[in-house]
Amino acid sequence: MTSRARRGAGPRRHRVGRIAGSFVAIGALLAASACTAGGSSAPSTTIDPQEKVTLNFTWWGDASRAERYEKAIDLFEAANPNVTVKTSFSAFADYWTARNTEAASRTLPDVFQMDLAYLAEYGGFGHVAPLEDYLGGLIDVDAVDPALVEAGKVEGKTVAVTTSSSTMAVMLNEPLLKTLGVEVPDADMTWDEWDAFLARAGAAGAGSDPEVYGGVDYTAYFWLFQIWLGQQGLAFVEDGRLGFEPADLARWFSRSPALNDSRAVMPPERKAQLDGVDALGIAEVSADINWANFLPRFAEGPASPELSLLLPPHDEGQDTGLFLKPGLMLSIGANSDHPANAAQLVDFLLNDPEVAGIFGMSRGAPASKTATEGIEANSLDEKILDYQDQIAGSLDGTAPPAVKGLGTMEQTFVTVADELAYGRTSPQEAADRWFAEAEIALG
Amino acid sequence: MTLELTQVPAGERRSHLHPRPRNRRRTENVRAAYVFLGPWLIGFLLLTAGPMVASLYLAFTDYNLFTAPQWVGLDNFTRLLDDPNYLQAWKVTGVYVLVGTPLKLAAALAVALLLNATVRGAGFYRSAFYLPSLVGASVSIAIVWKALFMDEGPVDVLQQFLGRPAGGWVGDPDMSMRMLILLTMWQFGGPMVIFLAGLKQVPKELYEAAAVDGAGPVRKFLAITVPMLSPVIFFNLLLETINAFQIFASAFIISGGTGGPAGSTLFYTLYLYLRGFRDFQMGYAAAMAWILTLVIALITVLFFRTSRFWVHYAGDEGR
Repeated sequence: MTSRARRGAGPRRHRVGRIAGSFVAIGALLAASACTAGGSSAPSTTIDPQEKVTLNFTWWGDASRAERYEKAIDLFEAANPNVTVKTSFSAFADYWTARNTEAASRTLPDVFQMDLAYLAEYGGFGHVAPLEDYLGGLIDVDAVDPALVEAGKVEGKTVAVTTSSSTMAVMLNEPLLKTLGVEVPDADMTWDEWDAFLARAGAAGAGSDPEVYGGVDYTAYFWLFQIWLGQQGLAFVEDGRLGFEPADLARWFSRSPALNDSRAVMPPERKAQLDGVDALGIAEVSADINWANFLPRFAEGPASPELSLLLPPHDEGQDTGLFLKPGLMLSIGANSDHPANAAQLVDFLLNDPEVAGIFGMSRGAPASKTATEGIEANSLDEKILDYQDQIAGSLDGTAPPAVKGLGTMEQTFVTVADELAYGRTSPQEAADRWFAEAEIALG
Repeated sequence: MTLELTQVPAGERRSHLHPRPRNRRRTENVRAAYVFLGPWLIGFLLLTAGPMVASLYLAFTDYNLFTAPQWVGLDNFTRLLDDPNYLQAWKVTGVYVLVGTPLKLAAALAVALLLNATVRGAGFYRSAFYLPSLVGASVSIAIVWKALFMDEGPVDVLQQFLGRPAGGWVGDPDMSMRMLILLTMWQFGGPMVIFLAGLKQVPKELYEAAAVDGAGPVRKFLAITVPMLSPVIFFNLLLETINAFQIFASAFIISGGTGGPAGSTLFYTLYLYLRGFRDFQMGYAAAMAWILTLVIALITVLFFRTSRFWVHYAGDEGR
């Protein structure tokens, strides 16, 4: 009996031991891989031109951007034969899902496109390399607007380089307005005049085929709201906290119901159905307020509207609130094995005139003046450059610093504005809801 | 020992006399079993059980993916209580489950009854009706579905023809849910095939006997088909309810990943996804995931508890 029992227990204990052993092995394997991924060598600032290096580079954007980046990378590889750049790209939302997972596992690409909305998370938690050692050396920022260099800082450290910038502009489809018999407004409009204009254009567009509305409900535009805040002498973020009250936001949102009750703006039901096209691009609205560098996108839309750019509305005696919004940024993954080569690539994409020539204004206005020289402007680019020159002296607002949760704040802003446009919530309630979310996101 | 020996059945006595080979074979069998189980076991432990345990832990933390999780106790759960979006997500999911699932099952049963009655070409129709559920979960169908319900799309044109107020359903918060319920109804193929198999099992004699007693088709359906089919109905209802709670892909595509218009398609899993992957609130998302798991588990238990009142297992006496 006893001997039998022992015989039974023998192999069993052995088995348990073996299973436990394999668990330990798997655990050790995971730990080992975590160590190699997490262990960082001291950043080197010199480049060995003989060393064969492979860099990973990734961005978000469409096929035309990919084509442009590939051309630029070919130039870079020709100039640096020891470096091979592996590229990949995806759409904005998927792009961030992938980067977030990589950040968690410390396997970020050597160089990747960065957005102000996520800079605080990546920079603040040490997932991207501080660039101080490279600025002035491998990365030349002398020709870049100091405000844009500043925009790449998180907690005093530069963690991204801004390659382009953009500003908001009113875009008018003048030929359409003339057809509708609506007087084309001039540059200096107050907000009430702007709303009145949208209502007039919308009323005139009723019954045309397709139906034409005045504009798009601009109260849903997060960045325009920030410009409006600047006009009121308020900052979006101050000392890491929101620099305004729910009442201010409610005042902004209170413009929405009147717009949606008339034909001043495209109804949300219609707006929700636009897929891959813009209201302005299909000429179903006569005007919009949007990023100046989107001009080619709208102008080359299905209806090929002829658009002109004007200063956004501002009330008399107030600032314009305009600022250069940092556009596409570039960061270097903290886990990169070749940060110096990565810095070299960043500098190339930032400053090289030929690269700028490839991109034109499609990234926004180049941040570097050296790069701008390479642009052979077409008529649309000219319009944007003219507009940028025209407003250069009126940039009295400031871009928000990179704060945590900026991405969430923008998305939530759009969500509550959407419900407001459908009349499912009041301006005050929408403002309160956004505030509650924003404060959690800000942390 | 002798007592034990007498208890060993005759067939096993021989092996007891030669214990070594038998034990070795057993060990080998066990070893082989683990080798074959290995891929699944590793997958289960690393990809299912491990993450589940991790997410249970994360539900009690503040975790943003970038830094180590911070223990916050029940904060995530208390925050859920005053989150208006969370309430909205439950409302949307609740309507979908309560309305969508019964309609889908009704459609599946109706078609199964028709197919069961048809003799000629039944195989062809069965495949044809099953087809939508094969492709239904795919992204492309959701895109096509969206296109069907746009302004000037086929559904809008039909509406105009019938003199109903025009306009696509996609941008209308009152109609977007109907769109998704119609989509799930259209994917009735899975439960239909199971219903059909169940219907084939119902003994013909019962109908014949009922016909002799003068029962009409409705009476036959209610008194014979439904009770005889009740185990299959139970099975389908349970599976489809659980599936309905987890709707994600079609809602994600049709609303462009936002849960719009105006939050009308903010399904539970979609909201969970947005919180976790858009807002970096993994702890909050994990808390939501666990509540959903518990609710589904509770409903499953409830289904099984109530089943003995309405599910009729024919067993032997039914034959």
